[in-house]
Amino acid sequence: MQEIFKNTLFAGIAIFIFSYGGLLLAISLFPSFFVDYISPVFNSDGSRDVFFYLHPFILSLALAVFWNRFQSMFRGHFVLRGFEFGFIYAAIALIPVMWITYSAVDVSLSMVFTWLLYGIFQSCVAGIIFAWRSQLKLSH
Amino acid sequence: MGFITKYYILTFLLSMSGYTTTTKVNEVWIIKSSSSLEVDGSTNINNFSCKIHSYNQTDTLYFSPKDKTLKHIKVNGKLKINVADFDCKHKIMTKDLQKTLQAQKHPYMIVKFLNFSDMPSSPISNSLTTGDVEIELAGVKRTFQVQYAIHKTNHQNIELIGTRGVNFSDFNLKPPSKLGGTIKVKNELQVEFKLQLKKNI
Repeated sequence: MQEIFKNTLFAGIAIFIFSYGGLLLAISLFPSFFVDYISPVFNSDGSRDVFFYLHPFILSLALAVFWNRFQSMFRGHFVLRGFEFGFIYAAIALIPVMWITYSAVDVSLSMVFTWLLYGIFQSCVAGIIFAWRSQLKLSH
Repeated sequence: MGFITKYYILTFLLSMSGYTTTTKVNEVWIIKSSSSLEVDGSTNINNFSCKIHSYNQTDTLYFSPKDKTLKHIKVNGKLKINVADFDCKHKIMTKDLQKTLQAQKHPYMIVKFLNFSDMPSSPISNSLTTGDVEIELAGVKRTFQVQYAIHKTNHQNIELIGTRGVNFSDFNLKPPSKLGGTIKVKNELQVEFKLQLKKNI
């Protein structure tokens, strides 16, 4: 259990930095792409901002539980294991969720596709952190 | 129909139009349906311009005679603008603006003209004048001083272009902020209304 919480904390901090750093960079590089976000579909009043910024830690907790249960199935260099973990998460969770999101919510295909890429990026970051920490633990 | 009956019908009709028989009227101008309204704003990622291309109805402005004791001329008349008619040239942004302006709860933006510094017919062409308007938006009323540019097309027709900077916060509205505040609409808006007026003879 302690290992799950440590993994959640480390991966949560890493995802927070890379995700929101990447989001701010993308907004400054491709501002026109983000015009579609000025939509009533997205919360406007800032009342849910705290949930938005807690997302990396909620995701990390879920992925840490998943890692704790199935880490023995991933082999090789820690970076490779991290990517494999990220892509498996995308295949079993992200693709079906994005599919139902596009079918039910008034958002564009390109927007949903970027969410998929964003999710894969986040799960790969978490996977690399988990694999790196487990390698460190084994070397000690 | 007797004189008294006619008098009462006339009084009733005038009172229904929001005008009383005791108010002296110097000039009457019809606000033509071709009048338009534009709201310009910006976000940290783009600029937007939302427009009501055509007012689609007519209204009347009643100008009282200039009172020497007052610096301005009292005016009676208003625009009743359907918020759902705003078009931001971007379907999603249009929907978002209408949500921000609480179009479902408060479907109309009302611009009530209170006074002008000059009669529309008196200034020379392409001159400037000022006046107070009361804007009601999202159920909140605020009074602003507006500067107008007057373009006379002929003796009977003029275009009155009024511009004024307002804030979302003036009407207790919060400018939209998305994705944890990474995308923000700025509080300041520039409102421009183009009134096409025709003198009622």
